[in-house]
Amino acid sequence: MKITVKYFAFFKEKTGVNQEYIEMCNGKTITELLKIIIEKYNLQDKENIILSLNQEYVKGDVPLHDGDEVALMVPSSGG
Amino acid sequence: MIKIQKENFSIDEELKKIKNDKCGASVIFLGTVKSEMNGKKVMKLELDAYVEMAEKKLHEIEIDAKKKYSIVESSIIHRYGELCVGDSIVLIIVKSIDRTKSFEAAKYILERLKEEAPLFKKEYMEDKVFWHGGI
Repeated sequence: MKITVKYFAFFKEKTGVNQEYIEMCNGKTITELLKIIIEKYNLQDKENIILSLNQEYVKGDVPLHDGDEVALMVPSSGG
Repeated sequence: MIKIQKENFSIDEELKKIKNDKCGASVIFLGTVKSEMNGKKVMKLELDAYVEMAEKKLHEIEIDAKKKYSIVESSIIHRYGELCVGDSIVLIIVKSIDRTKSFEAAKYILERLKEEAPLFKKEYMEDKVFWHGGI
Protein backbone atom coordinates (compact mmCIF):
# COMPACT_ATOMS: atom_id res chain seq x y z
CA MET A 1 0.00 0.00 0.00
CA LYS A 2 1.10 3.58 -0.69
CA ILE A 3 0.89 6.16 2.12
CA THR A 4 1.23 9.92 1.60
CA VAL A 5 3.28 11.47 4.39
CA LYS A 6 3.26 15.23 4.97
CA TYR A 7 5.70 17.12 7.17
CA PHE A 8 5.06 20.43 8.89
CA ALA A 9 7.01 23.01 10.90
CA PHE A 10 10.01 21.43 12.70
CA PHE A 11 9.60 18.15 10.81
CA LYS A 12 9.59 19.86 7.40
CA GLU A 13 12.95 21.43 8.28
CA LYS A 14 14.40 18.31 9.87
CA THR A 15 13.51 16.00 6.96
CA GLY A 16 13.95 18.57 4.20
CA VAL A 17 10.74 17.45 2.49
CA ASN A 18 7.16 18.70 2.43
CA GLN A 19 5.60 15.45 1.30
CA GLU A 20 6.62 11.96 0.23
CA TYR A 21 5.11 8.57 -0.53
CA ILE A 22 6.05 5.53 1.54
CA GLU A 23 5.30 1.99 0.37
CA MET A 24 4.36 -0.49 3.10
CA CYS A 25 2.94 -4.00 3.22
CA ASN A 26 -0.81 -4.27 3.74
CA GLY A 27 -1.88 -4.56 7.37
CA LYS A 28 0.78 -2.22 8.79
CA THR A 29 -0.09 0.47 11.33
CA ILE A 30 0.70 4.14 11.92
CA THR A 31 3.19 3.20 14.67
CA GLU A 32 5.09 1.03 12.20
CA LEU A 33 5.10 3.90 9.69
CA LEU A 34 6.38 6.29 12.36
CA LYS A 35 9.19 3.87 13.23
CA ILE A 36 10.29 3.89 9.57
CA ILE A 37 10.23 7.70 9.47
CA ILE A 38 12.10 8.10 12.78
CA GLU A 39 14.86 5.77 11.56
CA LYS A 40 15.00 7.31 8.07
CA TYR A 41 15.45 10.86 9.35
CA ASN A 42 17.12 10.12 12.68
CA LEU A 43 14.38 11.85 14.69
CA GLN A 44 15.25 11.82 18.35
CA ASP A 45 12.12 12.15 20.42
CA LYS A 46 8.76 10.85 19.32
CA GLU A 47 6.98 12.21 22.38
CA ASN A 48 6.36 15.59 20.76
CA ILE A 49 5.22 14.26 17.42
CA ILE A 50 1.57 15.00 16.73
CA LEU A 51 0.11 12.69 14.11
CA SER A 52 -2.92 12.98 11.90
CA LEU A 53 -4.53 10.41 9.64
CA ASN A 54 -6.68 11.70 6.79
CA GLN A 55 -6.83 15.12 8.50
CA GLU A 56 -7.94 13.83 11.90
CA TYR A 57 -5.65 13.75 14.94
CA VAL A 58 -4.56 10.25 15.97
CA LYS A 59 -3.66 9.00 19.43
CA GLY A 60 -2.45 5.44 19.81
CA ASP A 61 -2.01 2.91 17.07
CA VAL A 62 -4.38 2.54 14.13
CA PRO A 63 -4.23 0.43 10.97
CA LEU A 64 -3.31 2.09 7.68
CA HIS A 65 -4.88 1.57 4.27
CA ASP A 66 -3.78 2.24 0.72
CA GLY A 67 -4.09 5.95 -0.11
CA ASP A 68 -4.07 7.17 3.49
CA GLU A 69 -2.58 10.59 4.27
CA VAL A 70 -0.47 10.87 7.41
CA ALA A 71 1.02 14.13 8.74
CA LEU A 72 3.78 14.78 11.28
CA MET A 73 3.33 18.00 13.22
CA VAL A 74 4.35 19.79 16.39
CA PRO A 75 1.59 20.91 18.79
CA SER A 76 -0.66 23.65 17.40
CA SER A 77 0.37 27.22 18.18
CA GLY A 78 -1.93 29.34 16.05
CA GLY A 79 -3.80 32.40 17.19
CA MET B 1 -16.52 31.74 6.43
CA ILE B 2 -13.10 30.18 6.88
CA LYS B 3 -9.88 31.28 5.22
CA ILE B 4 -6.27 30.21 5.70
CA GLN B 5 -4.20 32.61 3.62
CA LYS B 6 -0.84 34.34 3.20
CA GLU B 7 -2.36 37.68 2.27
CA ASN B 8 -3.34 40.36 4.75
CA PHE B 9 -7.02 41.10 5.33
CA SER B 10 -9.15 44.19 5.84
CA ILE B 11 -11.46 44.12 8.87
CA ASP B 12 -13.87 46.51 7.13
CA GLU B 13 -14.05 44.33 4.02
CA GLU B 14 -14.57 41.17 6.05
CA LEU B 15 -17.31 42.86 8.10
CA LYS B 16 -19.10 43.88 4.90
CA LYS B 17 -19.03 40.29 3.61
CA ILE B 18 -21.08 39.04 6.57
CA LYS B 19 -23.32 42.10 6.99
CA ASN B 20 -26.61 41.15 8.58
CA ASP B 21 -28.92 43.83 9.97
CA LYS B 22 -30.67 41.35 12.26
CA CYS B 23 -27.48 41.23 14.34
CA GLY B 24 -26.93 44.05 16.79
CA ALA B 25 -23.76 42.59 18.28
CA SER B 26 -20.53 42.14 16.32
CA VAL B 27 -17.45 41.05 18.25
CA ILE B 28 -14.09 41.28 16.51
CA PHE B 29 -10.89 39.62 17.73
CA LEU B 30 -7.67 40.58 15.98
CA GLY B 31 -4.44 38.79 16.87
CA THR B 32 -1.17 40.49 15.86
CA VAL B 33 2.54 39.72 16.12
CA LYS B 34 3.81 41.11 19.43
CA SER B 35 7.19 42.78 19.83
CA GLU B 36 8.35 40.93 22.97
CA MET B 37 8.10 37.50 24.48
CA ASN B 38 9.42 36.67 27.96
CA GLY B 39 11.27 40.00 28.01
CA LYS B 40 13.11 39.31 24.74
CA LYS B 41 12.62 41.10 21.41
CA VAL B 42 10.72 39.28 18.68
CA MET B 43 12.32 39.99 15.29
CA LYS B 44 9.73 38.22 13.11
CA LEU B 45 7.43 35.22 12.98
CA GLU B 46 7.05 32.38 10.50
CA LEU B 47 3.80 30.45 10.38
CA ASP B 48 3.43 27.04 8.79
CA ALA B 49 -0.03 25.62 8.15
CA TYR B 50 -1.59 22.30 7.20
CA VAL B 51 -4.10 24.31 5.18
CA GLU B 52 -6.64 21.62 4.28
CA MET B 53 -6.83 20.21 7.81
CA ALA B 54 -6.87 23.69 9.41
CA GLU B 55 -9.82 24.66 7.19
CA LYS B 56 -11.61 21.46 8.15
CA LYS B 57 -10.99 21.93 11.88
CA LEU B 58 -12.03 25.59 11.81
CA HIS B 59 -15.19 24.67 9.94
CA GLU B 60 -16.04 22.14 12.68
CA ILE B 61 -15.32 24.76 15.35
CA GLU B 62 -17.48 27.32 13.56
CA ILE B 63 -20.41 24.88 13.31
CA ASP B 64 -20.11 24.01 17.03
CA ALA B 65 -19.93 27.68 18.00
CA LYS B 66 -23.00 28.51 15.90
CA LYS B 67 -25.01 25.81 17.68
CA LYS B 68 -23.71 26.60 21.16
CA TYR B 69 -23.99 30.41 21.07
CA SER B 70 -26.71 31.04 18.45
CA ILE B 71 -24.30 32.91 16.18
CA VAL B 72 -25.91 34.26 13.03
CA GLU B 73 -22.76 35.07 11.04
CA SER B 74 -19.06 34.45 11.58
CA SER B 75 -15.72 34.74 9.87
CA ILE B 76 -12.40 33.16 10.82
CA ILE B 77 -9.23 34.10 8.92
CA HIS B 78 -5.73 32.92 9.84
CA ARG B 79 -2.58 33.90 7.99
CA TYR B 80 0.60 31.90 7.36
CA GLY B 81 4.02 32.69 5.94
CA GLU B 82 6.47 35.31 7.18
CA LEU B 83 5.02 38.00 9.44
CA CYS B 84 6.62 41.05 11.08
CA VAL B 85 5.94 42.71 14.43
CA GLY B 86 2.53 44.38 14.32
CA ASP B 87 1.27 42.30 11.38
CA SER B 88 -2.16 40.73 11.66
CA ILE B 89 -2.23 36.97 12.29
CA VAL B 90 -5.83 36.03 12.99
CA LEU B 91 -9.24 37.63 12.66
CA ILE B 92 -12.40 36.29 14.27
CA ILE B 93 -15.71 38.07 13.69
CA VAL B 94 -18.85 36.89 15.39
CA LYS B 95 -22.29 38.40 14.80
CA SER B 96 -25.40 37.59 16.74
CA ILE B 97 -28.44 39.20 18.30
CA ASP B 98 -27.04 38.92 21.84
CA ARG B 99 -23.77 40.66 22.84
CA THR B 100 -22.93 38.28 25.68
CA LYS B 101 -23.17 35.30 23.36
CA SER B 102 -21.06 37.08 20.75
CA PHE B 103 -18.24 37.69 23.27
CA GLU B 104 -18.41 34.12 24.56
CA ALA B 105 -18.47 32.68 21.05
CA ALA B 106 -15.41 34.67 19.94
CA LYS B 107 -13.47 33.39 22.97
CA TYR B 108 -14.67 29.83 22.37
CA ILE B 109 -13.55 29.93 18.72
CA LEU B 110 -10.14 31.41 19.61
CA GLU B 111 -9.40 28.90 22.37
CA ARG B 112 -10.35 25.94 20.21
CA LEU B 113 -8.42 27.35 17.24
CA LYS B 114 -5.27 27.54 19.39
CA GLU B 115 -5.71 23.93 20.53
CA GLU B 116 -6.96 22.20 17.40
CA ALA B 117 -6.09 24.02 14.19
CA PRO B 118 -2.80 22.73 12.74
CA LEU B 119 -1.01 26.10 12.54
CA PHE B 120 2.57 26.36 13.73
CA LYS B 121 4.64 29.36 14.85
CA LYS B 122 8.38 29.74 14.48
CA GLU B 123 9.71 32.59 16.61
CA TYR B 124 12.75 34.58 15.50
CA MET B 125 13.88 36.12 18.79
CA GLU B 126 16.86 38.41 19.32
CA ASP B 127 18.77 35.53 20.94
CA LYS B 128 17.29 32.33 19.44
CA VAL B 129 15.00 30.81 16.82
CA PHE B 130 12.54 28.04 17.67
CA TRP B 131 9.31 26.31 16.72
CA HIS B 132 6.66 26.39 19.41
CA GLY B 133 6.31 22.84 20.67
CA GLY B 134 9.29 21.77 18.58
CA ILE B 135 11.82 19.19 19.61
